[in-house]
Amino acid sequence: MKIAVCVKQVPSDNKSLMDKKSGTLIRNGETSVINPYDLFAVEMALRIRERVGGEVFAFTMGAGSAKKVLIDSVAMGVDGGYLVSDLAFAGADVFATAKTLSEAITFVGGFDLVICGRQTTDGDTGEVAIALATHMNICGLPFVNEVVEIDEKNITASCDFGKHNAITKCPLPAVISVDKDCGLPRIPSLRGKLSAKKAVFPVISLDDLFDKNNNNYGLSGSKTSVLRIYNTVFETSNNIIKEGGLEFLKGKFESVKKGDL
Amino acid sequence: MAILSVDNSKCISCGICEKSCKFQGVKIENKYPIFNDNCTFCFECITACPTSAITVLGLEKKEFDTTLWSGVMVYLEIKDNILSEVSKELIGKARELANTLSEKVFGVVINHNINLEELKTCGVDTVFVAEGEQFADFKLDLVGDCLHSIIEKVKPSIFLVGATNQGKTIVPYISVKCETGMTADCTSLEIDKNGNLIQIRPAFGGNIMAEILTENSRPQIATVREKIFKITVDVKTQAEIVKVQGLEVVSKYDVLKIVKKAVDSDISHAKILIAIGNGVKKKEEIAVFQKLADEIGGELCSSRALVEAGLMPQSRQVGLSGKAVSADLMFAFGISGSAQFLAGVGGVKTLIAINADPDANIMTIANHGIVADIFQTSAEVLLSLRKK
Ligand SMILES: Cc1cc2nc3c(=O)[nH]c(=O)nc-3n(C[C@H](O)[C@H](O)[C@@H](O)COP(=O)(O)OP(=O)(O)OC[C@H]3O[C@@H](n4cnc5c(N)ncnc54)[C@H](O)[C@@H]3O)c2cc1C
Ligand SMILES: Cc1cc2nc3c(=O)[nH]c(=O)nc-3n(C[C@H](O)[C@H](O)[C@H](O)COP(=O)(O)OP(=O)(O)OC[C@H]3O[C@@H](n4cnc5c(N)ncnc54)[C@H](O)[C@@H]3O)c2cc1C
Ligand code: SF4
Ligand code: SF4
Repeated sequence: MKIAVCVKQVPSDNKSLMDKKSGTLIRNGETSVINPYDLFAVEMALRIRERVGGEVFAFTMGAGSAKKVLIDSVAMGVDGGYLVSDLAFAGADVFATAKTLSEAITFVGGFDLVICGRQTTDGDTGEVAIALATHMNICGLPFVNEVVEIDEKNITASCDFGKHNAITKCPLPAVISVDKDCGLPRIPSLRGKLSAKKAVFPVISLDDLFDKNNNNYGLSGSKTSVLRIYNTVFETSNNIIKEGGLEFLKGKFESVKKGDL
Repeated sequence: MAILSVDNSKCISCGICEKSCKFQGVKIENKYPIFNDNCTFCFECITACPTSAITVLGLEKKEFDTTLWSGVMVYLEIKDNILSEVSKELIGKARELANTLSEKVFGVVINHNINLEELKTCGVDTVFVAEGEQFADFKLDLVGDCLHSIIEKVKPSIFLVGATNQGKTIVPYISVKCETGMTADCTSLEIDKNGNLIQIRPAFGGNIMAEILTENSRPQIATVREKIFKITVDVKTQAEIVKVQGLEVVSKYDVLKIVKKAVDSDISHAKILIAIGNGVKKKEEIAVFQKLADEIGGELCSSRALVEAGLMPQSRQVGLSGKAVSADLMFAFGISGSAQFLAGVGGVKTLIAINADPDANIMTIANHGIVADIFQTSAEVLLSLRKK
């Protein structure tokens, strides 16, 4: 079985890089990381490979630095990866991202299954997987928390629909997005880390794709546009109580108990 | 092809763009910023630049006749044979937007065994109903293609869908089929002076907001989570019911079984919450917080740290990878306030944090930050509640 797993580079949480005492940013160079949810997608791909045999390839669309997330994937055990990168791809929304990934996966060809994470920590839309399936004109199973059965022809998986799971079967090739309940991602082995160091990743650019019209990709091919991004401050009186906090709490709990919020 | 560019006459060489970039996509060289291929077009620097010196070049305006599209359509999701809460919330919002535009509100429902009486008074002007046994279980291709054909006929300018897992599955399908944009998890929706929908949504874990437009395609599709908008039913409106034939297609999907999940009292709807975090280290230490919650009729929940430690069930985790909560009052004991935790508490009205560390992130975000030991305070508060 030939499996593609989609992984995205996301900014790492800046707050965790803050030096608490001095309040300065610790610059260890790790300003971006692999989307944490994609670790579950990689894990799922590896488990399916262990079950039915085959090969797993990671795909990432991003700038040159996104190569790092391919290295991380190979360290976990995937067989190789493709960097989908071109200035024409930059600035893509969900529609254009899914279009680009679909073209790139089709260019490499021969995949039975495409696995995505359920969402990212930056764009956080959780919509790329089904958009990708629709662009590729194949079935898509969302929010999979367990792959019940898989063979060369079909996949049966449990899809989370909130109050219930729907055990759904569909033909391959298909795209699935995996939930975090599907199994803890493995820690890269020493051997994995070594092969990751040696791995070379082919770059897929606009010229390689079937549809070469640059208006269909990146910012130009996007259907949404970001008007502006701004910081919100939580509505807060920001009242820090150093002395007498206990009395404050007692009073608050007592009035709540009386039904006064 | 698009590219970022700087107007050197506006640039004051302050270097803020370089500092704001998380990807090292821009460096100041010879006083002015130079963009490199690490740039992911996240727009952080454009927004951060104090003189608006950075712009995007090379964007072609596409011609699209938006005037053919009119009305606000709501996807009506049926749960346990009744209209879901989020659908009702969206109808209220749809009416508000439609009034601003002087347009109509449509509902669309695709299901099996539909209660038409409920739909007649749900507050929309027209409901398009596709009913049939084939829709008993949700199958993306059947529902999606049927919905697509209705949208192509009715041509609504705006399409609102609840951000449930079903909604989040339908939206990308429809969006790709209609070749239009989708905006996820909006927390606010407005109409701009050109009649476009301004879709506002949180980004990067909750404290940053993004305003998103779908200017050159229709419908403008937005998903909204439950509990973001209030239910305001307009009972005067009697909806016209229009029956639509389901398309004759065979689904590629086969739903073998529906497995109901065990129901746990839900923290997302609780009015009062007591949240505990990594300050709690042992199972025995949880009891006092459970008792406090019981005293005031609240529910106990936690950060991910305690779920990972196996001390609390996943169903009680608050945050990005847990649940979004909307309590009137939340006490947070021994929680530092990571961006991921905070992503779940945006709907909380009053947050009171108890933490030994006055510099913990949560202290700057809480309405009241109490610097104290969580065990000592919780024991004493419990004691005083029981004395009264
Ligand atoms: C603040 C902000 C808000 C945004 N809001 C919207 C919006 O409302 N609508 C919209 O259309 N776009 C939006 N975008 C753009 C959009 O987030 C991304 O740029 C898009 O490329 C991917 O969407 P996502 O990160 O939400 O992916 P998700 O749909 O959350 O990701 C699901 C999975 O898809 C795969 N995947 C996603 N991106 C890639 C990639 N580049 N390479 C490989 N695999 C990938 C991964 O497996 C991932 O786990 C927004 C961007 C930002 C920064
Ligand atoms: C993709 C991703 C998703 C995530 N999703 C979530 C999520 O949904 N929800 C979530 O919560 N986290 C999530 N996390 C984890 C998150 O980053 C933090 O690690 C976590 O929230 C920390 O939990 P905490 O605040 O309880 O612990 P800590 O950060 O360890 O904070 C403990 C706090 O307790 C205080 N304290 C300790 N002892 C005492 C005492 N005796 N008296 C008073 N104060 C005391 C300390 O001062 C400290 O501030 C996610 C992480 C990732 C990468
Ligand atoms: S758009 Fe984003 S990635 Fe590009 S230079 Fe600006 S801040 Fe950096
Ligand atoms: S933030 Fe704006 S003004 Fe400052 S250096 Fe960058 S482009 Fe120039």
